[in-house]
Amino acid sequence: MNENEEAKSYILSILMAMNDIDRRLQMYGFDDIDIYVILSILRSKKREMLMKELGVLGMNNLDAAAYILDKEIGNFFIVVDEDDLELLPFDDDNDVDGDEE
Amino acid sequence: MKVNMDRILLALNNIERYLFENDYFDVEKYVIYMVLALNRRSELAEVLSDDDIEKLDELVVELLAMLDNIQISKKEKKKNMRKVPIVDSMKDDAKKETENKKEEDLIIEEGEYAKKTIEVVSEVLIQKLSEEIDTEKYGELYYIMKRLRYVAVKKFGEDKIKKIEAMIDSKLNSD
Repeated sequence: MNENEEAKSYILSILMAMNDIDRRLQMYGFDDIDIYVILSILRSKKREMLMKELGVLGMNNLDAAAYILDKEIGNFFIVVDEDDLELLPFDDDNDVDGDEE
Repeated sequence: MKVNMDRILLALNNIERYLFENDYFDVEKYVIYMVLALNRRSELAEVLSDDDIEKLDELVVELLAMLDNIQISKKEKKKNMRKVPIVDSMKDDAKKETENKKEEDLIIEEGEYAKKTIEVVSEVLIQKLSEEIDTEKYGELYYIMKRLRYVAVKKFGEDKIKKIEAMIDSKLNSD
């Protein structure tokens, strides 16, 4: 796989995860506001964790990468073919410690 | 605006677990959450007023504080850990923090700033790579690095970045 194909494959895997997460949340009956709140909480928690590891400069770079991705992908929900997505079941374990990482 | 906290907790946990089980790194998780949140925010901005969006962001901050308390109380039982307050929001806090640094007279010469940025990111990537030697992961890290380089070149110019890379190459060869 050449560098360009690797990059495409990598971006596709990110897009598929995004699409999958968005669909799962809708499937479970969350409305737009709920979904925004959930994603904002996840983002903030992850940011807090990464800040210790990457520092302010590293986070700025990561944010820049995210903004570039956001700008470049455009209507990715339409681009990704639903047939490519394999839906894994959500389980009902309500442990929110996040200790697995 | 009201949300069901129990269901939100369940969703938070399931999404984290889903990405963890599918081998996504934390940096990738963060990018995924951020892009999805930006996307969803744009959609909400079309139907909600600025005030409503602001209230929504305040709600997020409140829920984060609640979530922090829930997690801390659980962890205290286990490890007696010190509480770390969360004061994050959807606003561009990275920019604010950078500005605060400037106000604190932490003005770094531009070339030095670029050098530090690349060094910090390289260290983290190398650390992650050494933890898990895997060609697929290497490909992913390589791509992240390429994207970061793209951002750095945009910000500082190709010449400066090449000089820094030459310095890093020289250091690596001497090691």
